[in-house]
Order: sequence, then C-alpha cells, then structure tokens
Amino acid sequence: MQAALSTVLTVIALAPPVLLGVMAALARRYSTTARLWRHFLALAVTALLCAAIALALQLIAPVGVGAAAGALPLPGLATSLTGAWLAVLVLFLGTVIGAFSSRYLQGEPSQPLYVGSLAGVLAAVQVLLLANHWIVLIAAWAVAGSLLQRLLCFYRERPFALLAAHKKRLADRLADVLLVVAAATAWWEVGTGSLSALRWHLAHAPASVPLQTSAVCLVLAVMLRTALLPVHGWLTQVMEAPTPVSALLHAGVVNLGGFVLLRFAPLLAAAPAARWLAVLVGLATAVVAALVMLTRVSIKVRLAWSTVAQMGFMVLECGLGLYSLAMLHLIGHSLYKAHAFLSSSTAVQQTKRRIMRSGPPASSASMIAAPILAALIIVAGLQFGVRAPWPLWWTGVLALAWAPLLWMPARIVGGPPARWSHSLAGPAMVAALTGAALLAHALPFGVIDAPDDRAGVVALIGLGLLYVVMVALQWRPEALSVWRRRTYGGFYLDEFYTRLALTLWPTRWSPAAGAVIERRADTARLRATS
Amino acid sequence: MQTNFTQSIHVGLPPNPALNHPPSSPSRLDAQVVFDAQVATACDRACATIAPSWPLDRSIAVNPHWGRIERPVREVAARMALLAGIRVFPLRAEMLHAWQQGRITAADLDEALRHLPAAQAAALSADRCVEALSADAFPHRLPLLIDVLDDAPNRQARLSWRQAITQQVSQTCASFFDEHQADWQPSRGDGLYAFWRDTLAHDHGIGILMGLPDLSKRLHALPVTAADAQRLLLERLDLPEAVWPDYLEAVLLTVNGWASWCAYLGWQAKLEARDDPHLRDLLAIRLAWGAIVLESRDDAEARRAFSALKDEWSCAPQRLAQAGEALLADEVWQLALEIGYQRQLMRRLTWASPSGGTADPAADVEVQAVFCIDVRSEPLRRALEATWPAIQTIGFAGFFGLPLAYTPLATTARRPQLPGLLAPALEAVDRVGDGPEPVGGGEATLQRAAVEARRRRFAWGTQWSAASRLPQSAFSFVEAAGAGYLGKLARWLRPAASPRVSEDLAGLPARYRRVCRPTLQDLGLEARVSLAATILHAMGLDGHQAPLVVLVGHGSQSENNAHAAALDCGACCGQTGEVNARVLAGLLNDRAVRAGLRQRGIAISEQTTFVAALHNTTTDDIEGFDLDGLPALAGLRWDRLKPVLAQAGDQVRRERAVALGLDPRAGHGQLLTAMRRRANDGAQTRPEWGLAGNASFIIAPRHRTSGVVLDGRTFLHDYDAAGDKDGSVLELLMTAPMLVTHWINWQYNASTIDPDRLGSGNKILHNVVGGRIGVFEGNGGDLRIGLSRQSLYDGVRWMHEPLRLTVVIEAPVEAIERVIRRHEMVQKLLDNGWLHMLAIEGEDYLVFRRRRCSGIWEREG
Repeated sequence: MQAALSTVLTVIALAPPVLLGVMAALARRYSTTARLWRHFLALAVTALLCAAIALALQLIAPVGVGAAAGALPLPGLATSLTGAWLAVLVLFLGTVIGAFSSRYLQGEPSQPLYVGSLAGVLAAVQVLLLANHWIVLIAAWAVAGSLLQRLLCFYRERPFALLAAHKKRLADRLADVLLVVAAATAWWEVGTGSLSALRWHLAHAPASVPLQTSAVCLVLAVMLRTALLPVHGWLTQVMEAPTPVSALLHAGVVNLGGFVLLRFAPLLAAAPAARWLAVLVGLATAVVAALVMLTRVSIKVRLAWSTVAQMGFMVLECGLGLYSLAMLHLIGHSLYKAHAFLSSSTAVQQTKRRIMRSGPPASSASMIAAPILAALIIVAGLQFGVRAPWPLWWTGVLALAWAPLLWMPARIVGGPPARWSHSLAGPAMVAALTGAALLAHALPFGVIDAPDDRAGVVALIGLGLLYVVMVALQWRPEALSVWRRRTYGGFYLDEFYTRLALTLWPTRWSPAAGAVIERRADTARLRATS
Repeated sequence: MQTNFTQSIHVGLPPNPALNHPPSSPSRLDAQVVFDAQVATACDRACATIAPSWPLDRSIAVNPHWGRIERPVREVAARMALLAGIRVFPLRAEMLHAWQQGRITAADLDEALRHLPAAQAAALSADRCVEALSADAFPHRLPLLIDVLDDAPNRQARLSWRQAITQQVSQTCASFFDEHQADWQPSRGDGLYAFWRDTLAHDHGIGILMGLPDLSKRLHALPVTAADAQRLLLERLDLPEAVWPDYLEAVLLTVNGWASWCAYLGWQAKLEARDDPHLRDLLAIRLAWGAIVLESRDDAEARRAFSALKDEWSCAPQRLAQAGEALLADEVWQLALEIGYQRQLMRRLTWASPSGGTADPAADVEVQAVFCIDVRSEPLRRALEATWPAIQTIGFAGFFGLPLAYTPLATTARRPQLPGLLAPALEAVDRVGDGPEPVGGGEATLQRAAVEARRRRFAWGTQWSAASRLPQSAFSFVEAAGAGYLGKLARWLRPAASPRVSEDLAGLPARYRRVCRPTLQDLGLEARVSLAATILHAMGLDGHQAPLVVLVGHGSQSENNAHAAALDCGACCGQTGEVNARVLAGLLNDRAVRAGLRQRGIAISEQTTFVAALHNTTTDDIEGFDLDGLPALAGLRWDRLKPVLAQAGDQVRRERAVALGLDPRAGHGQLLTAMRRRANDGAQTRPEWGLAGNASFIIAPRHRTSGVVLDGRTFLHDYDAAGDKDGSVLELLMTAPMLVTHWINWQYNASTIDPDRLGSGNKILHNVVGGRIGVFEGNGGDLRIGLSRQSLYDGVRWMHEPLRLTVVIEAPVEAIERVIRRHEMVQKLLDNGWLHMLAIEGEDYLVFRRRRCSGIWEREG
C-alpha cells in the first residue's frame, strides 16, 4: 500500500516539470499561435491538477520524517509539503498568466519563444521545488533565471530592458557563486550534497563554522535573488517586458528565495549570524522600500517597489523564525501581486473611484489611538485560539499593520452620517482580518516556527518607526520634504549599483534608434514585394 | 552669421556676455530690452506649436499638429522631419504596397499630380513618383546642443544625453504634475522650473548614471528663473534670430509628451481666461539642460560644439526648402490615396441617387432616433432604417448641444461633458426620485438618504483600501487576505458575459440606482426654454417630431484599459453620452419647458416623448434610461422598438465580427455573448476598433446617404440648407463638429504614420502615470500621447488608412465660402491642405465641387 502510494506520488510529483519541459522544448515548432496556446494551457492545467493531487496526497498521508523523507527514486529530488504548496501556487499562477498572455499578446511577434520560455521557467521552478541536492537546487534556480531573462528581453530593441537584464544577470551570477560556496562548505562538513542529509546532520550536531559560513552565503544569495536593497534595481526596472512577464516575475520567481530559506530553516536556526543578517537586511529593505514606494508616480514602478518591500518583509520573517508566516506571506503576496500587475491598467478607473471617494484626512488622535485599539482587538481574537500562534511582539507588528483601518476623519463633510456604522466598520475589518490571519496560520505548511525574541523586538521597533513616519506623512507632509527628495531618488542606491555594474562588466546597450519604424518599413516592403 | 545676428537685432551685443552684467549704458539697456522681447516672442511662438493632450480619464482625440495649421501640410512635414524626425506623410513602403495592390490607380496618381501646383511647377511625372517609392528620402534631423556635445568616447556604454535628459525631465514632470498616484507628495511651491532646479540640485541619480558624479556642484551655472534660462541659452547659442523659434520647437519636441500635457493645462487655463506658465517653464528646463551639459566640457570643446551647431542651423532655411522638395512625392502619393477614396465615395453617393427629398418626411415616421456623428453610428443607423422603415435617424454631435459639467451624487468629482474646444456653461447633478412610485418618504428625504448611504460606503471603501495601499498594512494584509485574490485571478481565465455597468453609480446602494437621474441644476425656466429651442432647431426637430424621439448617446465597454475613455464619446470629452442624453430628454419632456416652447412657435405634440438611450459601441447593444417614467403609450412604443434595436445591433455585430476575429455566422445570442466576453476581458488589448478607418464627414440631409454603405468610415451630420436661411447652423457645423472630426482624423493619421513619436506605443508595456495623466511605455522615457499600436494594428494589417478628412457639404458653394472667409481657422485648415472639402449641388443629378487650396471651387468628374 505504502509502496503503491509512493509510486503514484512519484509519478504525479514529476509530471509537472516533465510536461512543461516538453512544452518548452517543442514550443518553437508550432506554426500557428492559437494551437500553441491551446496546448500550453492544456498542459499547464494538467500539471496544476497533478500538483494539486500531490499536495492532497501529502496532506492525507504524510510521509515519515527523517533523512529519506519524501525522497523520490530519482537522485537529488524529494517531495516536501512546503514544495507541494508552492508547486500548486506557481502552476496556478502559470495557468492564469498563460491564459492572460494568450489573449494579451495577440498580434505580437515571437510568441513561440514566449511560450517556450514561460513553460521553461515553470518547469525549472517545479524542479527547484523538488530539489533535495545542492547541485539540483543551484542548477534549477540558474536555469529559471536565465529563461526568465529571455522573457525580460522579449522586446530586444529596448535599451532599458537590456540594461535591467544586464543588472539582473550580474546579480544572478554573483548569487550563483555564493550558492556554490555555500554548497561547497556544507558538502565538506556533511560529506554529501544531499539536503536531507544536511538536515539530519543539523538535528544531531551543532552547527560548525563551515555551516555558519554556508548559511551566511545562502542568505546573501537569497538577498541577490529576491532583489533586496541595494541590488533591487533590476526588479524595479523590468517594466520593459510585457505585463504578464512582470506578473510572473513578481509573483512566481522572485519569491523563490523565500522558499529556499524555508527549506534551509534548520540551517538558518543554527546560524545566528545568518539570521541576524536576514533580519537586518530584510527589515531595512521593508522600511526603506515601503517609503520609496509611496513616492512613485507610475503604477508599475510603484508595484515593483512594493514587491521589494514585501520581499524584505518575507526575508525578515524567515530571519525571525516565523516560518509559517513567511510561507503564508509568500503565497498571499504572490496571489495579490499577480493580480495587481495583470490589472495594472485599471489604474485610471481606480483613480476615478478614489476621486469620487475622496474624504477629509484622518485625525491625529485617531492615528495615535489606532495601534492600541488594534492590539486590543487582536488580543481579544487570540483568546479564541487554543494557543498563541505567534509571539507577543508579532501581535504588536500586526497592530501597527491594522491601525490605518481604524483611522477616522477629523471632520465629516456634508452633514452627519450615521456615525456608529462608520466607527464600527474599522474594528469589524480588523477583527475579520485577524480571524483570516489566524485561520490561514492554522494551515499545515510543513514548517515549524522558531521565533527569536531579541530579533523580534528589533523588528517591532523598526516597524514602529515606519508607523511613526506614516503618521507624520499624514499629519505634516511638508516637514519631511527634504526626506521626500532623497526617498524619491531611492537614496541613489541603484545608481551606484548600475554604475558599478557597468564598470565591472561593461555591456553595449545603446539603443538602435528608430528600430521599430524600420522594422515596420521592412514588413511593409516585404508585403509589397511578395 | 554673427553679423546677421547683430544686424537682425539692430544693436551690437558682445558675443557671449554674462547675463548677470548690469547694463552699464542706456543703449545697452535698450539692447537688453529688445533682446528680452525677442527671446520672449521666440519662446511664445515655439510654445504655440504644441497641441494639447487630454488626460486619460478625459481622453479626446487631438490633431498633434494643431499649433502648426497655419503652414501648409508639406511645409509642416519638412519641419517635423528636420526638427524631430517625425513623419507626417505615410511611409513610402506602404504607398508602394497600395500602388502594387491597385488601391492607388494610375488615374488617382495623375489626378493628384494635376491637383498639386507644386508638382506641376516641379514638372513631376507619374514615373518619377513611382521611382521615388523605392528609395526612402526621409530628411535627417537637425542636431541640438545636447547632441553635438554628446561625443564623449564612452557614450556607447551609457545613455545618450538626449535620452537621459528626456528621462530626467520626464520623471521630474511626472513628480510635479502627479496628484493621484504618489501617497507622499512633494511641495511644489514655486512652479515647475524651480521644482526642477531644486530636484536636480539634490539629485545624484543622473550624475552618477552619466558619469558626472559632481553634477550637482556644477549647478551654480543654472539660471534662477525660467526667463533667465531662456535668455542665457539663446545668447550663448548665438544662432540667427530667424531660426530661434525653430530651434526652440525642436527642443520642445524632445519632450513632446510632457509639452503636450503642459499645453493641455494651458488650454484649460485659456478656457478659464487664465495664463499658464508650465509650458514655458518646461522649455526653460530643457534649455537649461544644455547649459549643464556644456559645463561638463572644456572651452575648446564647447567652442567646437557651438560652431558645429551654428553651421547646421544657419542653413536651416535652405535645409527646410530642400526637405520640402524631397517630400513633394510623398504629398502626391498621400493625395492620390485620398483621391481614390473620394472617387469611390462620390460614386456611392451618386448611385444612391435618392428620391427621398420629395417625399414628406413627416409621414409614417413613428420613431426618430438622434445619434452622435461618430463613424460608429453609421452602420447602426443604416441597419435600423433597413430593419424598420418607420424609423428616421438623425446625426448630431453626441453632447446634444448641452455644454455641461456633471458632478455625480455625493461627490466632488466634477467633469466636463462637452467638446474640449469649449468651456462648460451648465451644471448637471444627480437627483434621486421623480419616479412614478416613490421609494418611500418625500423626495428630499430620499435624496439625503442616498447621499448619506453613498458617503458611508465610500468611507468604508477608503478604510478598506488603506489596508492594501499603505505598505505597512499591505505586509500583513497579503498574509491574511491573499487567498481572496484566488477568485480574482481565476476570473482572468474566462471573462464574464455581463452587460455594461456605469462607473458613476459605484458605491450607490442598488435601491437608489434605479431612481438616480442627472438633471440640470439652477437654470431658470426662460433659460431652459431657450436652450431647448436652440437644440431643437439645430437638430432640425423644431418642425416635426415623431411620437417617440430617442436620443442615443454612445459609450464603450472595456476592462483593464487605461485608454478606455478614447473609445467613448469625443464630443462629451471622453465620457459616455449618457448624462447629456438623459439631461436633454428630461428637459424636453418637462411640461413647463414645452409650454414655453409653444409660445415660441415650437409645438411639441402631447404624445411625443423623448427617451435617452446609450449605444454600446463595443457590443452594439442599445440600452434605454429612465424607462420607468414613460407614459403608457410611449412605453408600448419603446417595447415595439426594442426588437428592432436588437436586430439592427445583430446586423452591425455581424459586419464588425470579422475584423474582431469572431465568427460572423454565429447565432444572435452567441455573437452577442462573444462580444460581451471580449468587452469584459481585461487581457483584451483591442476591445473594439474605435474610429479606425475614419475618412469623411458628410454634412447633408439623411436622404442623401440613406441606404449607402459607408463602411463605418464616415461621420454624418444632418443638415438641411433650405431650413438654414441665415447660414448660422452651417457656421456652427463648420466651426465645431468639423473641427472635432478633423482632430479625430489627424490623431488617427498621426498615430498610424508615426506610431513611435505621435502614438503611445505598445499597450503591452503601458505604465499609467499619475493615475490619469498619461502612460509611459515601460519604465519611463517621455510621456506618450496618441493612440496605441494595438488600437490601429491587428498584428498583420493597419486598420486605419491615413487619409486626410474629406468633408462633404450639401449647401451652396457661396454659403460655404462665406463661413470659410469669416473664420480664419477654417480657412487655414482648407488653404493649407489639412482637410478636403467637396460641395454637393443639384438634386436629381448630383454635382460635386472640390475646393482647391487656392480657394477656387472646381467641378469634379
């Protein structure tokens, strides 16, 4: 029975990467785009179903823990509950993004290349989610990155697309080197490149200096891949690719760093230096990028900075040892950001609605009282749980997050509305969100939290400062005008990085002027002669 | 050249005096004053060439060369080529295609050659024109200061100065003009120029990027005011004064998108009789950049740059003349393309050769339907008349003559609902109630309740949106509520087939939606009666009305489309015609107004009822409004009309299906569902083809065009010269709707011919700026104006054929010429070849007369 189940699981778990890999290889052979897209979508849906069944199987019949947990008959691969969740997530996003692209890209040239790269990225990500060996992990991650590169440079004539891709390439190669160092040191210590062996090793022996080094390199590599400060520039500048590519990148690829940290949770837990690195860089990125995001003037760039901030927050959660929250964040942010990018052209409609809704600003008293009230509501909500799902300082972080829902306008325009409903709406929303967070937190993700209280307090202080700045912005924006200027410039971090990148690794990316119109002339001439 | 320069300003200025020098003698003071005046004039002339570009939520079509119509088209084409590399005539490769496909015939070409005096003067032959098609003789752009300074050896490894400056200016403008996107707004205190200067003084970004890390230290060279910057640069450039406006125009064209936005602000200011400094500030900013780049080079380099620049620009007049000659063949081909279309149009009109003029129009007409002149009305009107002979359709500007500004209930979101040429003169607001069955309580109570309910919902919406908008909340919000986006994402898989919903009702509880009606605010009875009388006269409805008169506005239906407003009614300033149609129907159904009209000799029969409706141009659905208040008999008539509307809509959908990639043989319901799905599809970049293909504007009685298949390429306005003895209606038509159609026509032409410079580029890369200002293509670069490539191109074929509008008027040539002579703007458009004009004479045997650019009317064919 167990053997049969394991065979089924093997086949189902391997189906998505195999199916999508085949699509990636064959895409260029299609002559009609309609058929190509139909086949891609059919395969993507099949892969999604397989991933869903694999997740269900693992939820129903959890495989044992230990060195061989979830190992597949193929070397270097193993299933995990975390990976299964994300496999479903990424394939769902891939299907939606594929369906969107199939209509959105109508009339664009080189769609076979697009489909091939899209399928390839999804296949590589699926392999990464199954990786149980350093080599598989590094290779799958690198392949996903380089296939994504092709999508980012879908319009080759655009100089900024090439520049952003160049910067990304530099960050990726640096991350590769760091990962190889991390792998080598760990391999040397453990004696094998297997990740389950590494976990077993960590469960039975304290983390040695090489393993600490390995953890630090790993966190640095994740920082590069998840576009944390100061190497965020490529992520905020890839609006030169089609909208669904941005959705794929921001929702399905950039956050894989979070998954890797979750897979290496035991290593991270055993390496305080790596943890603090994740906490500090994550926190700094979350706070700084959040402020920069507030100054952005175009919708997609704003969304990109929001991703940088969110990635910082996710890495922060990993560093804090709140792995289930990090997992929840990874999934929730992916869904949210994919939708936000695909629907980014509703910005005009959203603005129209915001103008219609516009009301008076919030009163300063309500902004001060809001976190306290939010904290009370959350604490009250926690009474319903069996045990506190998160440490007390995290309740503080949540209270700061929900506080803006409780901000009240200083005055009411146009006569008194029914006050009670207005003042109850905020608390109701806070209660609902807290309930949703509690429910989501109870989902079995296959990760075990290991909160670090000292780092937690640091995070709370950092986010408290962010709240103070937010309140100051509502209250006296003009007092911060000097800071706004710097923030608008993104603190010039990216400019230094770009300059450095171009000095260290020069590239030619000067634009071909009028390339598009020339191309059009060519096609017209072609038509005329044929 | 220096001597020329000094002669032209009649005083001897030292070549490069520092402006800060105090004037030491009276003569120098005079010289300074004269010089300043010349600079100001040149700047004003350059600024006047930039046409406005409306924001996305009010997007209306504009001729991007509107500020240049006082010059002939070919001259503008030459100037655009030299100043900015912009094309005004179609690509020769496209013309070659048209020639080889037989779209342009030898006869068309010969006639074009015959019509163009310049072609005859140059003794251009058809063979030479055909030869020209295989070589692209597009003239080269003249360099600007920043171009000649951009010769550093490392320039391949970085952006060009031109790109970098456009990028920096564009980002600064976006930050300055954005009111709705950024939550952290800058202080704008001293205007655009000061804002830019301040930004740059603290901006290390561009300096680092361009390899000038100490850029901000060099900014002491930067003049403090915009006027100083203009003076300093023109003085240092030392170009002949005659080319100043040209140079400045070329400078503005490097940031044409933002210049157009500034011109829009200027346009609005002018409507409100204000002055707007933004465009001049932008020019100063762009000029000051020259000074900054100059600072980074040593004296010898600067001298070389100046002399190179002067060499190029001193012979600008000759270069312009040469470019004009080079483009002569292009003008011939453009005209030949148009003549081919006109020939076919005249043939179709002649063949129709109606007898309608003799029949009594009043007899047997049960329904009159007034449509917007929009080209998309034409197929529907044709289908309606074919479906039911008892229906008479009328073409009229889609704002129905109501110069409105409308404010939705319980908001301050006031917006214009009239052509962009005009300023609103009337206010419309929502009134809740006035139905036959009161929803409960008095009307005032109801109104108050509706206002409060909406405000409450808005407040909730604001609170809830804070959770995803503010970053700190968003961190935890995605963890708690991220799963909620599963459903939203799944919706991308298969769009809904639901009908159009009005945005104006957002946040209004369902029970009030039915009874929320836009009405005129604060307008006395006398004024309302006058308004009604004027509109009825202009529509030609002051004589006879059918028992049911339907006022059909139009609007589009699309999802996730930043340019949705461009598909709505241009005469309503990029809104749907719903508000105007409903307000007018309400006005004309008002008993008091009707009594007043009767006193003025306009008797509207007791049983005549006006109904407002909306033509959904994306799905060709027609929806009626305020039907609950209809008298019983009118209700019955509307019920009888409904199947006719449905059938006509179906016919039009079949006509349009092929171009949209749908099956025209699908069943009625199937096709409608398919079109609705398409309209609701947020991944659809081509919800409809809008006004693509527009080519002519016919101002004539409907019987002249009824039954004629015009392929949705023609604007139609009803006009009966016999009922317009004083020519006032003709004058109105030629000065308002004709300009609007001309703007639309040129926007489509310009975006088709030069999609990179005058179109907004690839929709797939669009990135909305400032929530409503416009779009970037990708990360940044200049603000993009005009139509996107997807609005005109289906991946294989351009859906719009760039033809200058042919206006056909059925009226005596003398009456038309009188209007032309009275309005300089109209005369310029015609004399300079921005549009074609044909007059129709005769009743049974049609005679067409063409107005030549010289003002002479010539008989056609």
